[in-house]
Amino acid sequence: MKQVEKQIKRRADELFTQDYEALHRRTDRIFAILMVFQWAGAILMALLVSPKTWNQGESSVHIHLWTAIILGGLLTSFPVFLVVTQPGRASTRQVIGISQTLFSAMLIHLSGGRIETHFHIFGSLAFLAFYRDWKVLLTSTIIVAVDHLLRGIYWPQSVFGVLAPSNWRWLEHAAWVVFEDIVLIAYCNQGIREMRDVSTRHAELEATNEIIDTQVRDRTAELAEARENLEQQVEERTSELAEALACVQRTNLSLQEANRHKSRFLSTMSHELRTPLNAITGFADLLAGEGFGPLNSKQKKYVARIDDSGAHLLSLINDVLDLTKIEMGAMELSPESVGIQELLQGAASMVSSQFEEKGIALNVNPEAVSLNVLADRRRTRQILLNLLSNALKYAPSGTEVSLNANRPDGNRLRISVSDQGVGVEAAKQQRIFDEFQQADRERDEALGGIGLGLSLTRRLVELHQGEIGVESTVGEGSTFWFTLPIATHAAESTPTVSRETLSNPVGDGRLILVAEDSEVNLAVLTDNLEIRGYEVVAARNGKECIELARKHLPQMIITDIRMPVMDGLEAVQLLREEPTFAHLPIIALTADASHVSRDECLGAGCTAHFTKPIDAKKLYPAIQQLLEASEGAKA
Amino acid sequence: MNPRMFYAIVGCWIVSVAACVYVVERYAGQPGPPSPLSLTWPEGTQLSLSADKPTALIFAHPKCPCTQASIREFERIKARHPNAFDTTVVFPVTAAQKSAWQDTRLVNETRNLPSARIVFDSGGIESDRFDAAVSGQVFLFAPDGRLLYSGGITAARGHEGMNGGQEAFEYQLSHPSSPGKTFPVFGCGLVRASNTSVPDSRRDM
Repeated sequence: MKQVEKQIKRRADELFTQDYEALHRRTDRIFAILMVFQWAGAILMALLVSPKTWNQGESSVHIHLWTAIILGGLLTSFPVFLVVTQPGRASTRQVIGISQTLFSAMLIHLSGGRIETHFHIFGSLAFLAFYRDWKVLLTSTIIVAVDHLLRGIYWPQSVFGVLAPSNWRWLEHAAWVVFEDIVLIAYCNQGIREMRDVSTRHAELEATNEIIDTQVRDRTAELAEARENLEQQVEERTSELAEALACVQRTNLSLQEANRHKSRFLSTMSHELRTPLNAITGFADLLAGEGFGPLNSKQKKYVARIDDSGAHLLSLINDVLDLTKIEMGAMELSPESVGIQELLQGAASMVSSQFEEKGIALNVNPEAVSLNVLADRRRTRQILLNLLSNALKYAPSGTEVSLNANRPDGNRLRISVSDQGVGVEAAKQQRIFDEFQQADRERDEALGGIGLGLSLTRRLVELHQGEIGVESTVGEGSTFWFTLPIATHAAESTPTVSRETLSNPVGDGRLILVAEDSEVNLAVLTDNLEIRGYEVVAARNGKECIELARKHLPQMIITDIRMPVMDGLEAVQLLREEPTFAHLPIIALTADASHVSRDECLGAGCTAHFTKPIDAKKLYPAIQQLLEASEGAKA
Repeated sequence: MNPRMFYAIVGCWIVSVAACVYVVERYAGQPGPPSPLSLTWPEGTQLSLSADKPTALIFAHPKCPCTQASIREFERIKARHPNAFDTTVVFPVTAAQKSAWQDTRLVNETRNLPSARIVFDSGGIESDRFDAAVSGQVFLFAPDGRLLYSGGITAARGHEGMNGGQEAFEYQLSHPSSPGKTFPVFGCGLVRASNTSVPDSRRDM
């Protein structure tokens, strides 16, 4: 701080000196001009007042005129010379002060000692005060004093008007000049103080500006550096992001490729697993139907086990495929308004026999029987069947399982399945809804689970914008619950599937053309149709199908889709172009259970679509209905 | 400019200025001689002598610039002593310049003197009679023609202000019985009929 104060003082002194010198130079110039005008004025005055002197009748130039010209010129020229050559110097203003004072004396003399001309002295002193230099005033005052002193000694009447003035009379005159000097010097000092104040403030302002400039420069440099760093970081981040984006894109492409592989794999696996499974369950059905003769109890038992295993395997395959579809975002729901009572009763009826067999009471208690939910009927039934299956697995005989529905708030319906089974530990209650997670692995695998059922159930509930959870106490039982949105409109009635029995053949000898490249599946289908009284003509590919259709003119065609030489869809499209087969009922059988496959089949001209393994309870009644409808249309 | 040269120039300048001032001051202080005190009111003069109070005469060259100071001083004296004396201002003129010199600044200024008679002395006859040689010469005569004062009433040429001549003049007004007084006269040379120039010892510069 002291350093700053010293610098400011030093700078203030510099500024003051500069201003002081500038003031002196400026005043020098003013006096130079003034003196020239004074000289001209003196000459003019001499010309006007005393141009000539006379001796009787003769005249000559008055000495006053020569005085004005010569002495006035001397008193003017030297100061002006110094102003031009040495402006601002102390010697210049001292000479100016002396000249100005002598000029006053000359003017007084030229005017004949007029008292009014004495004002020139006082005015000159005031002008000299412009220098703000008391030494200049002192010099002029000394000249006045000396002039009066010498006149007082040698020629008193020229200044005092008496022949014998007192010895100190000159001092009285000088004292008046000194009085003015005191005032002017005080003015000069005040002026100098003000100049110093201004200089100091100017220096302080410069120092402040310098500090601010330095800070601004520093900050600008910091900002520039920060900007550079920021730009560099942005560049790096951009590069990283670009790299990450490229990586993501590559990963995305890989994932898409993997998804395509997965889809192809699933499609292929679905087809490859379902096809033999179709044969397993189909033959099991044939045997169970005792169409080829009665079975003993053991045979029936084995057939039942084959059927159960096939159904279980099919269930597992369907769960895996459904989970995969959900993960891929390919699962599409068909939400509709479904009556809650129908939903619960429908699900309960499907498993009631199993509950009876195990000795567990199944109670259905829908509180709000008139309510509808907005849900996919099939998938909701799947949710309920999963939960009921779990309850059946874990509830011991002699206990009770209840299926409840209530309305916790205005927009949602809460459905719950409560059992009195083993319960789930609190720590595992959240985990059991994740894939391949089980409450007790050994126990659950022994019961035939692989940890997909609850996971699939949760996904299906979430697709319905619902929630799922469990409340359980170990050793006392569990309540699995989920919520569904309440529908605002009435439920649609569902068509009932008509039942048929093998002991009641309805084929009446109608001819059905079956196109299937798998011998096993062809055998299953042919046997099932023949048992039901149909006649069957078999083709092994789509081309053969067309040829046999033209030859035999069947009442119906049942065709597989994937076949060599020509697939089923192409064959259907070609047949539909012929007027003979334009309205023939054609059923497509495919191991691909996706909506895409169904849409393709129906779009190609198929009348119906069934997936393998065939559900005999649905396929054969549907065959009968379609034939009757076709015959009715022809009639 | 080196200091030596500067001081040399300053020295020359001071000497020059001092020389001019000396010349000027010497000129200003160089009087012409007053008329002698032995003078009495001359006979044959056309000028009038007052019978009941002193008579003041001022001889002035109509063109003399310095005499303006004398006229102004005289004006002050008259202001201090109103009606104490009669005043006549005599302007000696040449025959050739008579009409031109009747309208000079000094003459016009003199016309403002209260109760003053102005006489143009053609050819300088009166100035010869009264032996007035220098412009600004003042005479004060008693009613009986005795000369009470002869001299100037300024301290220097054209120089106004209190001076010995004015003091002496006013003293004689108050003390007419005291011996006559004199004082130098500062002014131009008057026109005289004798056409005699002022002796060298009396000539102004």
